[in-house]
Amino acid sequence: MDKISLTDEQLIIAFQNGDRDAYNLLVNRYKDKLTNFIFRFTGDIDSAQDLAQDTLLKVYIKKDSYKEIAKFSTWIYTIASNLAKTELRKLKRRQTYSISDLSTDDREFVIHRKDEDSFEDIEDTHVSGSILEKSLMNLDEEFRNIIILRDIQELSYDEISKILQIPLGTVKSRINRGRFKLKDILKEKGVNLY
Amino acid sequence: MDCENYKDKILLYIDNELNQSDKKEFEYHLEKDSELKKEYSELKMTIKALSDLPKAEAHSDFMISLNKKIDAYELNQEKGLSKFIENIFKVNYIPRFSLAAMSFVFVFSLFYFWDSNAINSSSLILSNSSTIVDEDSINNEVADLDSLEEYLDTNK
Repeated sequence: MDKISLTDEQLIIAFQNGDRDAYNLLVNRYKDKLTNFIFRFTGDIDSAQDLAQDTLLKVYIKKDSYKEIAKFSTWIYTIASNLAKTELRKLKRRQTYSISDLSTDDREFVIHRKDEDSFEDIEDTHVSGSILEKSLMNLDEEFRNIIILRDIQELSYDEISKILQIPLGTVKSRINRGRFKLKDILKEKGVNLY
Repeated sequence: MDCENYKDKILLYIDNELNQSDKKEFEYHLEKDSELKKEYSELKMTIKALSDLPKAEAHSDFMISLNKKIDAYELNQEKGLSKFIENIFKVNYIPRFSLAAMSFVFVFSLFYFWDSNAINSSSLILSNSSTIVDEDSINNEVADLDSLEEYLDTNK
C-alpha cells in the first residue's frame, strides 16, 4: 500500500512499529504547518523553526505515548502549543531584563522607537500583512493562540478544545471575543475594514 | 432582537454553524440592521485578512537540522547506556573479568540451589503421600481385625 495515502494516525502507528519512513512522511506533512503556527504565536521565525523541530523531535522520542483514541493533529499541536507558550515566556523575560538593564536614556530611545512602529495615522482600505501581524501580537496570549488555531491553521472547534484543554463553549466565546478585539485593534491602527 | 444579541451569533454564522432557520433569521436582521451589517463586514474582512497572511515555511535545511537533533538524541541514549554499564564496572580494586566471573558463579549457584530445593521438596511431597497411603492401609487392617474380634466374641 502507498504510504502517502495513509492517514496521520496510520502513519504514527506504523512509526510506533518501527517504520522510520512513516515518521519522515509525518515530518513532511507538518513541518510547514508547525513553523507557521509557532511563528504566528511567537513572532520570531528562528525560534519558530527551532521549536517546530523540537516538536517533531518530541514526537520521535515520545511516539509510544500517542494513543489511537486521539487525532494525531490534536496531539502534535498540543505539543507545539506548550513549547510555544514556554518560549514566549522566556522571550518576555529576556525582553523585560534587557529593558530594565538599560539606562534612563536608553529606555527613552526604546519608547521612541515603539512610537515609530505604531500605525495610528495610517488610513488604509485593505489590511496590510505587517499591520495585521503586529495587531495579532498585540492580542492577549489566550486570544492570539485561539485565533491562530482557528483562522490561520483552520482547525475545528472540537480540536481546539482538545488542544487547549478548555470546554467547547469557552472556545467559541474566546474566538468571538478574540476576533472582535483584533478588529478593534486594527481599527485603532487606522485600518478601514468596512 | 437588538444588535448586541446578534453579535454572539456572528461567529456561528461566519463559521457556518447556524441551523437553517437561525441562518435565515440572522440574514433577515443583517439586511435590516446597518450596525450589525457593519460589524459583520468588519469581522469577515479581519478573518479573510488572517487567512490571507503569507504562510511561514520551514527552511530548506529543516530536515537536516531535525535529523541532527535526532542523531544527537540517539547518541546521548547510547552514551547513557554505556556509561551506566561503565559505572557498574568502575570498582577499580576488582578486575572486571573476576567480577563478571563472580556474577556468573553467583547466578549459577542460585539456579543450582533453587533447582535442588525444588527436587527435594517434590520428593518430600512424594514420600509424605506414600506415608499417608501406608497409614491408611494400616488403619484399614486394624479396623478389619477389630471387626473380626467383635464377630468372634458374639459367636462364642
